[in-house]
Amino acid sequence: MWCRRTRVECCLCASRLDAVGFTCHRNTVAGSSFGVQFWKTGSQVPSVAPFPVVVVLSHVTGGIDLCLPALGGVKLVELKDGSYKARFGADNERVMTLRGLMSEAQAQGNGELEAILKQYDAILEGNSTNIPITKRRIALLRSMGRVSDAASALVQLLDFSPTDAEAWSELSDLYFTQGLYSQAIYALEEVLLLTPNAWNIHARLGELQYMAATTSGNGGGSHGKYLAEALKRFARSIELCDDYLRGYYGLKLVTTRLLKEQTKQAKQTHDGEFTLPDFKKIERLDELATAKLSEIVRHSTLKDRGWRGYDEREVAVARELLSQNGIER
Amino acid sequence: MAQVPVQTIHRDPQLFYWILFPITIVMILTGVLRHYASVLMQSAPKKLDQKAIREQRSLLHGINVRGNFHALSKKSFATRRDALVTAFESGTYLKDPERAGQGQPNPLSDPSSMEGMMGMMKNQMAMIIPNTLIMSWINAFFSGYVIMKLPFPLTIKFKSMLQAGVMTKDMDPRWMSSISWYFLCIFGLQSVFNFLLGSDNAASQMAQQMGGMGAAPGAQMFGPGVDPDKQFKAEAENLAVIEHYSVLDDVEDRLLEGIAV
Repeated sequence: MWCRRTRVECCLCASRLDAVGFTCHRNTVAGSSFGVQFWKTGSQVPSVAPFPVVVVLSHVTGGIDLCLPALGGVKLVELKDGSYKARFGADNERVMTLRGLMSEAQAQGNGELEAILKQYDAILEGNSTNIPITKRRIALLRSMGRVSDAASALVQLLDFSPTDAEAWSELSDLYFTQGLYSQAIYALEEVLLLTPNAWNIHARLGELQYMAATTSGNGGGSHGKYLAEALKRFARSIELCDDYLRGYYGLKLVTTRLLKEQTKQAKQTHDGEFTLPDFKKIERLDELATAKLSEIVRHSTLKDRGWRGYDEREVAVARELLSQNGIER
Repeated sequence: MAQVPVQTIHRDPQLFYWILFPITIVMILTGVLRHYASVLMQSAPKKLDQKAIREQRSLLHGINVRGNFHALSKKSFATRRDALVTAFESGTYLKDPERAGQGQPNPLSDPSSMEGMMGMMKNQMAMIIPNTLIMSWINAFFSGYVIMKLPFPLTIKFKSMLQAGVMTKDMDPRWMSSISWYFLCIFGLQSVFNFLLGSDNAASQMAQQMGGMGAAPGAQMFGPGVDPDKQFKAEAENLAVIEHYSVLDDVEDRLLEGIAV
């Protein structure tokens, strides 16, 4: 869980990627800031807390509200300071993190944030393996705009804990915001090594490859390579989850681009890299993506049964893409 | 063949209330007590220092790369493999690189492993002591007579199990003595404990005996007496022999075949 001041979003699901059926995300959230254990044993909270969880500060009660976007609505669960301290002890890593989160949310101005950062440093001085606090510190650094500090702290964390999917994913996002695509791709590939069947990560990797291809320009040799792998990543994400809107959207983007550039494409085969499928196949993939996208858009606009879970903004963007290509139905 | 006459033994109906009930209730109560005792006695898992975590997780990382290499393209796998193999073979991730290759340390001299053994001893004790007490209690008060008749027939082999403490040769195995009821309770109260204490309780002995075996792989991997340097070397070898393929190789063909629009 990584926080921007008063709002916490799980970097694997809430903000940029979706959470449906993605088990890794649940595990990493459990392993991070204050985790599942809290909800399981705390008496006020439902035994199975739905994710993603948004923590908002309650100014009225002085406690912290766990805002659980449960089915159909938003449910607020209030946690008083003290109740969890009594239950888990003040030196529990997750309780420390939760308290840090509260003071971060209440902080006014940069000076107080600096003070909190110092507190985190002091905690880590005593116990360098306190991973939740390490993550809070990185999140705080990032929200204060010190991106390169955050990145180097993350790299340090990943050096001694390279099996942390959440941290790799955050690192990937950090690099991505700085435009370092190949590093971002590397970090996201590490996430895939931990969760090889996460279709949203496959699609996200495809998106990164596509962006890397579009920025690297048409001339370079890496352009075709990136596009080929993006195509395959999107295809894989659809293979794993066959109604995945983002996967089809990305596939459509890549195939459109490839078909446009087809004349210029020289057949080049690098050793150990993916090669583009031939023209016929790309055309068929394009047809497939178009058909499936328009199906999803049509059904979810009509709010048909079984087609409801899609994000409205994503559907709107997909509709726009289709109308650009003149396939409005 | 003549029909074997049905044996009837007139028992005091009070036996039911004064023996069966007490034994069962005492067994359940000790189970609950043992659960809470072991929860209280549980020592918090020892904190590892950063280097130990690094050692363990790097090895796990290597295992992950080996297991899920198919998610990567050939080139990105090759970079990772080269880096990992060199690091593993040179012992970069070792907790104390100077001691690499000196063979495994003696598990008895390591204080951390002694702690683990103490924990195991505690668990064993929590199991053995109440069992001994209850059994001697039953032996002292209730031994030597049958207390109930099972509602189903049994073969002669069950005699030694069910009629422990009753030396009557010809008695039908359906008759049970109190010590046998005690044994039945030991093995049969598992579901009661599950109901009372939740599924991960420490009350039932069966679970503990199984746990001794089940927890082994995780413990063995980083347990005392294992030389991490050798583990890293073996993992480097495993990584080096992988013949790479990727799930992305023919994914568009599979997709075009598999999805009908």
